Amino acid sequence: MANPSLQIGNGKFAIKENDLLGYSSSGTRFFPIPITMTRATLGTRVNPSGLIEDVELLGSEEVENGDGSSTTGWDLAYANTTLSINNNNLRATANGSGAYGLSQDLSLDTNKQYIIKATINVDNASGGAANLRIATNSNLSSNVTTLSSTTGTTTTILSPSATTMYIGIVDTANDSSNYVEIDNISVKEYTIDGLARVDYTDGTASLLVEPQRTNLITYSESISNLSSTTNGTGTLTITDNYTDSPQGLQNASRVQMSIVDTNDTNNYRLINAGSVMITGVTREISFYAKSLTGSNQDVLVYWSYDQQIVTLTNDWQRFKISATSGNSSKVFIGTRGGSGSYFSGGDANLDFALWGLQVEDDGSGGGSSYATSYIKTQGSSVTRNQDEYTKTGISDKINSEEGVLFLEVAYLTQTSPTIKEISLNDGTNSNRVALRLNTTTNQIRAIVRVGGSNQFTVQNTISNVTNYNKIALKYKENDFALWVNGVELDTDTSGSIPSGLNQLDFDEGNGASVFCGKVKQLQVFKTALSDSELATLTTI
Amino acid sequence: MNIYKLQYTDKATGDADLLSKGTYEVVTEEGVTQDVYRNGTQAIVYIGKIVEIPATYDDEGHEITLPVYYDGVFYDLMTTEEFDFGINEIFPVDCVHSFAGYEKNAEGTDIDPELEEI
Repeated sequence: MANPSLQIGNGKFAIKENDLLGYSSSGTRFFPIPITMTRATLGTRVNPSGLIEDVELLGSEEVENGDGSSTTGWDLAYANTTLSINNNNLRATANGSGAYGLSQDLSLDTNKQYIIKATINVDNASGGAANLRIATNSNLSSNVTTLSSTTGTTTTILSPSATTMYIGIVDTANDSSNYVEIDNISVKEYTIDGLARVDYTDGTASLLVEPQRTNLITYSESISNLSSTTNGTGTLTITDNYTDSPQGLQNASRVQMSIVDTNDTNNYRLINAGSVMITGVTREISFYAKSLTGSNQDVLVYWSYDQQIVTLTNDWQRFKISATSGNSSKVFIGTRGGSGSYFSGGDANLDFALWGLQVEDDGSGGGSSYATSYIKTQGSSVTRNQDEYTKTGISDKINSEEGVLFLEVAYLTQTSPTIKEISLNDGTNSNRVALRLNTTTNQIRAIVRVGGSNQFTVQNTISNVTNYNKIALKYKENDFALWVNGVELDTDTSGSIPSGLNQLDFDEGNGASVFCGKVKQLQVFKTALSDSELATLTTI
Repeated sequence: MNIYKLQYTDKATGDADLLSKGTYEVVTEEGVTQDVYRNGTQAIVYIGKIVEIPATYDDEGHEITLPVYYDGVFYDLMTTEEFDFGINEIFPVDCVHSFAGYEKNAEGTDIDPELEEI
């Protein structure tokens, strides 16, 4: 079989300088083909270790000796300061009255963002204004941004206001017994937008391409910030940052609640997730939870006018509930007595961990028929933008006389309200070779269009488009075929093919019908493969 | 990146203004109609009404008293381009919506992912 002229994935995902690397190969040699990715917001993924993480690109370390190994690189922020290393902490000790501290100058780019991570100790400060700062002068007094005023670890994303900035710790000392310490500090260039997401939710790598979504829950992690609804005898305690979450960080909340009368509908303890439902609209509720008792526990989730009982185990699970509301209503999570109503159920005594609470809106005020990746919120609803991929100027990779477009893809939903397409095109949707998910359940479609006129168009319903399927479209004048999972589903022996194909888009070529799904591999061939080759290529 | 906070009397007016400014286009192909972002638009988020005084609910979650809303409906627009939205552009101090990785109250032109506790 001929080598593909362009590939994405197939076990070889890479990112360089923000671009997803497609590639071509010859023997054992690989030639990178950068694919432009656009998403102006942060996104998350499941990493190879199975942990949820922000997709970010970090630069090199900007701080010298930020690990407390040496005072080299650090200067006195004020004269009456003694610098020392104490138990691998960088310590500034007051040797007179008045302010003291230490700082280090950084050369930064004002067009970039930086992530600052630091652990400090201010327990032995004066009790006044001891804090970690970044500023535009060495004694940390001009254009100050205070990063932390308490002992512990802090993380901040910063857009620098100047090319030379100073970072350090200062205190307004009263006497020479005061000192402040930096345990460790790190400043690195930080990129979050335009980064491809290679996701391992299924245990293997795939390119995660998702639509714009808004998490309507205002506190997705610090659950204690959500209100609660209680009645009758019982208890309710929420402890934030109690245990490790699916991120591997200690930021999941512990929820302890109890009622005494499981027959009394007026006895309840509920987390009130807010007014996130509207009449007649389906929205996807999702959250991660696990039991903390060592036994399975049943938890009630309800809204107007329906409910679901979810069973928590000792392992983290993501629960996904498609909820259609008959009213403008809230979503409640917890336990409630009574029977026969949609708002009763759940164990009387609950002790579980909760994290990543999410109710999704598609951005238009409408619904969401499936859950997408986690969107963190902290005091407001938050939107993650649409993922978009494009590669222009690749006429040398696409044969406008014959070829094959091949995908191994799992769509995010069996029934989509909009078309999802990947195409080889000329920058318009009038001339293109395309594979798409139709709006009909589990229906895929192949299209070859010339001058706005369809030359080959077939559609087939397959068993489940949310499973990974291998789909190939062969195009050649008067010789078209659609193959799925080793089977030739359709052919056509009449039709011309478009000329001038020079780009790959995860849409129709005109920005419409943006693709969403998980792509394990994409291949473009410059020859119309034989039936046996197509069977081999597409067999699962 | 530019983030605009917008207020309109109703959704029809807001949609029409955003359409007239070219932030999106309505495309219909083979009977399927969709909104397609144009001219640098990264995201349009229809926030809808914003509650000034919350509703009260019974213990089934149904509204007992209706919420009191600020006038009109609200949008957030993220775009690489600059627009003059006139009186429809607002400058709230405690925003109810933000974009992932951006400060909660980020708005205006040349906004970057910025000083944010994470």
